Amino acid sequence: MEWQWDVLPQFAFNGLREGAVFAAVALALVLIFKATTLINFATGELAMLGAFLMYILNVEQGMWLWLSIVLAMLISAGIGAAVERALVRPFDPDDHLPVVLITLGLFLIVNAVAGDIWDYQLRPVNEPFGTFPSWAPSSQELKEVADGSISCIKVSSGNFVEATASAADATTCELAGRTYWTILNANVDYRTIGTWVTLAVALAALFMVLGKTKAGLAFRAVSSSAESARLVGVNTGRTLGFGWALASVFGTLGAALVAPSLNGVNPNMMQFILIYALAGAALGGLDSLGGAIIGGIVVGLIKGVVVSWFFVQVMGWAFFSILQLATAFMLILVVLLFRPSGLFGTRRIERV
Amino acid sequence: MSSPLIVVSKGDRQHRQWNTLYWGYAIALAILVPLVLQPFQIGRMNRAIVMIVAVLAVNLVVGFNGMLALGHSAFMGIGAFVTASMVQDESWDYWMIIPLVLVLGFAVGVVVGLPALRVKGLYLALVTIAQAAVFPTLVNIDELGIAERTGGPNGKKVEEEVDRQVDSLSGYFEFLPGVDGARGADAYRYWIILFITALVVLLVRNIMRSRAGRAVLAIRDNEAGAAVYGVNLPMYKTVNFALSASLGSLAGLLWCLDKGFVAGQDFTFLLAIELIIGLVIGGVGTLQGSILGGLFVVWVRDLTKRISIPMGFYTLDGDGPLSNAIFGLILILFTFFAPGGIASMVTAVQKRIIQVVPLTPAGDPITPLERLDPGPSSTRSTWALRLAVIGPVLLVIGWVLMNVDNLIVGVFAFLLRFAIVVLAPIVVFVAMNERRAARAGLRGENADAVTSRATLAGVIGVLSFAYVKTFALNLALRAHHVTHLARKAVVVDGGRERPVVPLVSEAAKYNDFEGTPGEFCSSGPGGEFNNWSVDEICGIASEAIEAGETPVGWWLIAWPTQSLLALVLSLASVAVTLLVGFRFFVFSNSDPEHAKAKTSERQDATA
Repeated sequence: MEWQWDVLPQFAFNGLREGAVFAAVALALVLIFKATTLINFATGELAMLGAFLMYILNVEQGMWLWLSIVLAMLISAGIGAAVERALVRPFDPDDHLPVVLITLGLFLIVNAVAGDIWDYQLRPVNEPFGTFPSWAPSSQELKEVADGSISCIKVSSGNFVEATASAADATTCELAGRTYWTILNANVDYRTIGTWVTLAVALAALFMVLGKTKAGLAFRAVSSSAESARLVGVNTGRTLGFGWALASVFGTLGAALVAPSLNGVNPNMMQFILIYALAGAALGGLDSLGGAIIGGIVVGLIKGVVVSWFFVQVMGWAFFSILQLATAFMLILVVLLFRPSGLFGTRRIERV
Repeated sequence: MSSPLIVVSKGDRQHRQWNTLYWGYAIALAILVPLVLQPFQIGRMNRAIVMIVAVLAVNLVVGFNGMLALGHSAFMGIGAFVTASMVQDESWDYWMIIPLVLVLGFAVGVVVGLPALRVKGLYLALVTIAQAAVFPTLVNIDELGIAERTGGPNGKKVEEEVDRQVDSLSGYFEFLPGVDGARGADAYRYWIILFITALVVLLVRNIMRSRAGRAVLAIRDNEAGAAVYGVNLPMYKTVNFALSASLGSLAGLLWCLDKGFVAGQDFTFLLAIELIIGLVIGGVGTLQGSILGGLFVVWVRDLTKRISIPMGFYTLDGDGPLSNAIFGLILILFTFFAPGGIASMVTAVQKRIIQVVPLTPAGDPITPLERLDPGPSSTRSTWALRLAVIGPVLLVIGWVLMNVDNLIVGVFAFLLRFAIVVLAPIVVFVAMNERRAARAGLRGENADAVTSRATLAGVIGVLSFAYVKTFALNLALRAHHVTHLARKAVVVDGGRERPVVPLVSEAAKYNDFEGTPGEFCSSGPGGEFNNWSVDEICGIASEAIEAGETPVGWWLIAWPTQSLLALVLSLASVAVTLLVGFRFFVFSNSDPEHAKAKTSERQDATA
């Protein structure tokens, strides 16, 4: 066993980037749980649909990437609200079985229809941060270099987007294609930082909406007690739809941010992420928004640091890279065993 | 038709007769199914029965205990992989593995269930869905010899071992008609799986009637209430879940026995959802529902795979990812419009036909029979008459539709034609019931009208039933005749004569042809099989069959003894139906004292 402290920051940063995505999807789960006390198992597939919307608008229609992400978020907000209105609201929220069945059916339908339309293949998407004009000028240079006589290959290997060159002019090309900053001996992608910044902005917007607007107040009232909220004149149904719309927005954001790291969009892209997000939501507490964010990030860190760094690198157990998902599963079990309501969730007490 | 056609009191002799008839038909059908199906259809049926066990396991948790378990694919996977490994690597017998798999499933169930079931809410769904997603990744771990035992991403094949064991044991079944060769192995597996499934169904039924089962049901209906009455919630929930997990593992063992090949990608989250779909569509919380649901998921997927609807620029193709979308749609539609599943629909129809009146502890019917009786202005005889006419009409429609060359229409047409076999006995029974009631004076002034209508309905019913049965009998007899001719058509195999028709079906099986030997021959297969030209043996067989000048399907003659069996079955079913119909509904006046007492009561009341 050899402690490889020098590579630890690298794994930590990767874990934090993945954690940000898990946090976004966990937030989507928690928003719906707060609204309807239901775990939406179709969250991942709805988010995948949002990512495909982004793909259509950006890659197929040639729209500006960020505009297409925002448009995809808005459209999936509409889809989320429509799903709530058409498929979930007719059922009694206290009876879990029918609503869970509806979300499972939705899962199958969205996944299968997407698979029928787009095949189960990876479709490459554009990198939102590597090509961002203002603070990634290097991409501009990369083009010039690529257009010139020097052959410069863009290598996309998992987490890193690097540029290498033929031996003739390696240094120029390496500089030109840089898409990361070096912090603590670790290469931190622009993408990593961009993901955090985007998520932070989105979270600030979410808490602004929930804290300062009337709709947000209504949402908090309904999630605290739907019946009392209805008695004081809150339109409960519309508020629940609002919660689903918010959830879809965050799911789509997470999917759009994670797509470049998965080398593209694909109908099955969100299935494993959903499990990590479930673990994150369970860890933070299913009814705590802040808990979902922290839980998602902690799950990302556990995946990056504990599994990929400690077990695989330090202990040298290569098979643990297969056990990443199993670790999330074990985490859920441990949380339920020792703190069923999660770190920040409220304990539920039933009166008979 | 507001009132049921037949009213019986629970535990009455008439009620017992109905039950005997119902279960007798069902069990006989289940046992004899492999004798009339193609080998590939038997394989599918095996799969369906495996799914019944799995759906039942899910039902134990979801239906009877009200907890959401979405990950039984993992338990099935555990059972299947342990079985594959034990049979292939350790040369264990299947019988020896059953206890191992049950105990292992139980243990895993406790480990997974205990944390989640201590707390109320959706947590079990959360844990089990993660478990379903995790399981397929676990089989690839190349430490501790796991990948070696599971076969890793390539899957593990155990077919040779299965065949070895099946071959050595199926010898005991060869005295049965139609059980030989490839078909024998499939049928043997079918009976084994069916036997174990029947045991499981009985087990679950009895558990649910026991003290523990009642506690489990009480938890579903009112958790807090059950706790107040002293039910240990975590203990009962966990044991129930673990039991369900061990049944799921047993389903995995049967899966391995049936398929002979296990791979991680067979036990994904999609399988778990398929089980849930089967449960919901069959009927949550009922035994019949699980049986129907298991059959449904396998056979309906088989059907949806054949859907291909051209819609202008786009072809709706069921044999792709869309079959999942169709299942999802069915799931949502059922959740919306038929939350009780098929079982509740069947029960609703059944209640229209026959109503069982419960008994008081003293043994008397709780509601007086005439209270449920429509009384003097009986509409039952009218309905019996209508049903008597509907049967033949459906028969004719089905006959016409048989000419449409489309599988779904074909199945539909078959159901229409089959309807008369169900309708006619009902008509006869109802008619006899009404005649008896009218004679006993329960139909008041309309007695004559009721009697005449009931008689007419009964006669039509008996005649149409007799017609259908005669037709079947005739077909069976002629098939038997052709079989004789076909058996004479032989080819010489090393000085030994071999009947040619089974040879053709073996060739079809060898070429992985899914269909009848007749379809196989007309597909012009060419090539060789065991040194014979396939076209040649096809020619000999066709000649022999055509010499019989009978439009009998190849399926009837492909296995020589089968037509004999069809004959015996047909005769037996006629005998049973007539016996039950006449012995108990015509000649025995089941309770004259009772009827007389009622008549005098009624007269007293009117006076």
